[in-house]
Amino acid sequence: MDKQVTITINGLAYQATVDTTMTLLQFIRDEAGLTGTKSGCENGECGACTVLLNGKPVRSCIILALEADGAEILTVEGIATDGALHPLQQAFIDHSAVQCGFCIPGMLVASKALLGRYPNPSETQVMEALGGHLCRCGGYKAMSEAIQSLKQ
Amino acid sequence: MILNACPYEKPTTLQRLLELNQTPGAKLLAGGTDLVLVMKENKAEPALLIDIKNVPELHGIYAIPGGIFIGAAEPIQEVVEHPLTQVYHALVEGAGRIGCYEIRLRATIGGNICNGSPSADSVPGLLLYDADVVVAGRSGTRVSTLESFLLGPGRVDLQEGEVLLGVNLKTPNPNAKSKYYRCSRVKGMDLSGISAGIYCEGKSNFRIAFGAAWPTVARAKAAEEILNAGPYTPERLQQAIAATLETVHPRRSSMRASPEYKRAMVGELIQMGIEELTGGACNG
Repeated sequence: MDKQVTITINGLAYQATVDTTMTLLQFIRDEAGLTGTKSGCENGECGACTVLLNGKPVRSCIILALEADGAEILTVEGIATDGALHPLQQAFIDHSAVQCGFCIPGMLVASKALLGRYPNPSETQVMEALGGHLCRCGGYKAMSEAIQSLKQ
Repeated sequence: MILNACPYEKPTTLQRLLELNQTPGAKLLAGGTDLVLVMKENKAEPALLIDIKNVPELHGIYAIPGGIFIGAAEPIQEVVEHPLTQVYHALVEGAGRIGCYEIRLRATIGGNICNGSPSADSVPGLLLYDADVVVAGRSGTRVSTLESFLLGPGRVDLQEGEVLLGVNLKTPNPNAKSKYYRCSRVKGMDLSGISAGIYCEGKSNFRIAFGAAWPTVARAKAAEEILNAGPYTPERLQQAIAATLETVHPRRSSMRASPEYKRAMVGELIQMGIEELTGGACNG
């Protein structure tokens, strides 16, 4: 029942032998050792495990690693380049959008996908994009302002 | 945590999918937004997991004679955004209420139908436009009404080995308008407490579908007959609401809305929907 899969995460190909008990989130955290992506509700509801799969935001806790064979994944570790923070990361810091930080890895990759779809997102589009991401510290205002500060 | 592993196959042809689906205890995996959850709770232990996402026949939204076809494995978000679906207003609105953006990118229209949920948000819109289902089995392909396909909570009319290929929707009347209304506890990620799809052509040919009012999503046929029997009047509207309420008996154990709330909303949703679609309160 084991199958070998190759999943490219942040540009690096990871190979492992997996079965149907392993989620993509487990693959990212335990096989690739990238623990920036968080395990929250494990039900696809909270958004902490969000990663980009072939450019689109998905819930890695309810996708099997087998389903992602051959896919390109982007996690929060992959959005900074050459040691420089991604503009979204800097904007989140500048707007004090981070309190406990648990939801932030998911928020950041979802925001990156949002800006890919809508370079000048409206407040409604931002809230729609963050609607599936639970933040129980401070709410969404600072995050929305951070994202909207990057409008072109 | 998923405790027990099972074989996994990802066929790339319909023929291979149908062969694999002869396996007793096999489960079809599309978006996984329901099935993987059930597997994590160890409430489903498939003998074989068949990932159907690479089968071409289950994909695409395209024109067919007299309407359009939507492949069962098309993600909900595709249904929401595709140019060909935009004339089916209540379908687009209902599908757009499912989960959140990330969930809609994975969850599929076929999954929403075959899960058999009485509150499936994409189904009222499909029923308003008299959708048909296209089902493939080893002996060939059959087309049936979606209405006859929905059997009860968690149950659809798929025989052993059959697979839902997609749905056919007829080109709507040029005057057709529809809207989807959903009552839920919070505006964001939530499931429906009760929902309604309302359809009309000008001020006639009213169609009404409810989610979470009956054991399946279904049309309010008694109300439609009364409303369509003559000119639209306040009396007719009240008769239609009363006729619907005679058939709505929600379970006390209903998880997301009390029976009293559901019954109260039946009338509100019919009235609000018809008034919004026909451009204001009727004045007899």
